[in-house]
Amino acid sequence: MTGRVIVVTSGKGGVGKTTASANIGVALAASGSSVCLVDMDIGLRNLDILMGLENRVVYNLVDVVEERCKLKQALVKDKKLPQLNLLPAAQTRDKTAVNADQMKVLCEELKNTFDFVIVDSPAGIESGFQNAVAGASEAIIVTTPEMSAVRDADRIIGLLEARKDEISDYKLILNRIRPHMVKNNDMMSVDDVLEILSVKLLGVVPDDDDIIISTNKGEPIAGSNNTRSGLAFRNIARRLKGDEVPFMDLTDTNNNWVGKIMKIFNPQAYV
Amino acid sequence: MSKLSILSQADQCITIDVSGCDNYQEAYDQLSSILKVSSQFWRGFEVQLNLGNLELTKNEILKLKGFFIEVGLEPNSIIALNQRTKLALEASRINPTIAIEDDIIEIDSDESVLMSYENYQADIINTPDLNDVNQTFQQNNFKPTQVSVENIAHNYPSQKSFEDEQRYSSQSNSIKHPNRHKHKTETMASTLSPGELPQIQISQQPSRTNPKPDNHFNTQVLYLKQTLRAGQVISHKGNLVIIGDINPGAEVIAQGDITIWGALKGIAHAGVGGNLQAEIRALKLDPIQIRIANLIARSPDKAVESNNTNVMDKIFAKNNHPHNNTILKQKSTNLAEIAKVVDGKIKISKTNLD
Repeated sequence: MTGRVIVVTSGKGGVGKTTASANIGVALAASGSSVCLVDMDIGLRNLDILMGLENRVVYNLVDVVEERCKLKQALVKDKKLPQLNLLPAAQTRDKTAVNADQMKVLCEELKNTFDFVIVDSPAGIESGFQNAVAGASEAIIVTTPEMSAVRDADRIIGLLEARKDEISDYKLILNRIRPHMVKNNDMMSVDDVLEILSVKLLGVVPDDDDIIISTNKGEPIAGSNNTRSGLAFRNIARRLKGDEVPFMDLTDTNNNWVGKIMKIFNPQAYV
Repeated sequence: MSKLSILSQADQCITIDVSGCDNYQEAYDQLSSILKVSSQFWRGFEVQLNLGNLELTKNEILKLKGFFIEVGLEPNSIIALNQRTKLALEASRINPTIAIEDDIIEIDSDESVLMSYENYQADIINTPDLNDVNQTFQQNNFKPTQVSVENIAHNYPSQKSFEDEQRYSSQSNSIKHPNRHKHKTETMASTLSPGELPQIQISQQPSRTNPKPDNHFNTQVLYLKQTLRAGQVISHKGNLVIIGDINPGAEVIAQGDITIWGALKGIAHAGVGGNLQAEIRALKLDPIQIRIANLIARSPDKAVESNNTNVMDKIFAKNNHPHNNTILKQKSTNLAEIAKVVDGKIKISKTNLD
């Protein structure tokens, strides 16, 4: 089996890389693929907390790289989805504990076992990012509709383009969009962001209180059925697997009867 | 991996081994990376510096000396093997200690590599046979209460050296121990109720000039007054007393008992090396994981907790072999809590000081 190694990166911190990684992982695993989530944010690990697996972590990525344990021992199985695995980062080390070559070896090994290897990259463009990208062949860029995040995403895309030999494909996730603000011209729209970045769009995730709740619970939102952000992440997973899924129409925030009737007449716009 | 190793010896003496470094610059970089970030931490220690075969000029030695003074350390003995370094040391009016060959071997051996938490884990997994370990211990529980004092284990199975180690996420976290010597010799009376003070003997055989790394479990108490934050690790060869909280993401590791005058919310590992008699006490036990010897118990999952307040949770022993054991946790009251191994399971109970 040769899986796909996909790095989730953003440049700017706090735009939702880890949340996106966790949810894409859950959505892919829920659709039947075997998935390994790799937390590369060494020293500031969060992915295990989002997944609610913090208390199960015994070994970590640095232990594997430094050969103190076998890869299998370090992998933490998800509570609900047995085909979803987490390789946690080390909390008590820093980014220098791993180098790019070691990551390449590790990703090769994971690729043989899993359909998808999702690497959660740390913020920044320094060694941590370079290491995270090292083993990947695809990239997902996460950004929010803010000038600073878009600028950083642009920078990241430049860096990914410079690695054309390794990164064959990269796509954008626009996170935390607020439709009513876009409507009032208070926030950049999807098109505005795409115009600046000129990249393929993988998905748009609406800003959602439920994400915060799910994060605190340690249960990624993609596992729950009735939230828009959860659906957005499931759609992203389907697109990653090659399905043609139309983009959600986020302008429909008011779920009144007019909106519902509109939906019936124009279903294309609402998935 | 660091080429520098720091070994904690008995009697507030530490050995700093830079013999793995190739040249002065490397040794200096390694030293400053470890010592400077936590300068306050090291203050007051007596230091034995092992230069190994490192070749240093007089100038470099003086610079090193200046550096040590800067971080509050003064080497009281220096081991040098290199002839030129020896001459340079004499020229700088520092007399190199002529090291006994045994000691050098001890220090140069793989076992003295800067031990980090990860190493302990490897050790735990390799612990061959728990039953053997048990037999070598003399139990020394003085009273039916959980207060135990360990003069135990001269044949302690672990041959590994420990060191006191701290990592800081930032400079501002450095702790202040103006009077570290005094702290270290204090007994852990503060966490016990007045009526229950056991006599704790701390062995104090000074061997200042050339302390040998002892392979025994020692009853030395490390007393720390600070809150440990995420990413920080404290490991100690003997018993550990911390006045403060252990936040989630922080770890405390000791060969003996761990006593926390505060809340344990991170990871605590007592009895590293196989001491199943080790105990973890805290005013509030709310840990992510508790490890005693080679047993691991993890906290219950949040969802489970909300459904079932009488928390039961699985425990798994080495190599994730499920033993179907449980952590028993009673309803919270204002009593301090204690975790210890009962019948091969880690159990948490309220301290019963009646």
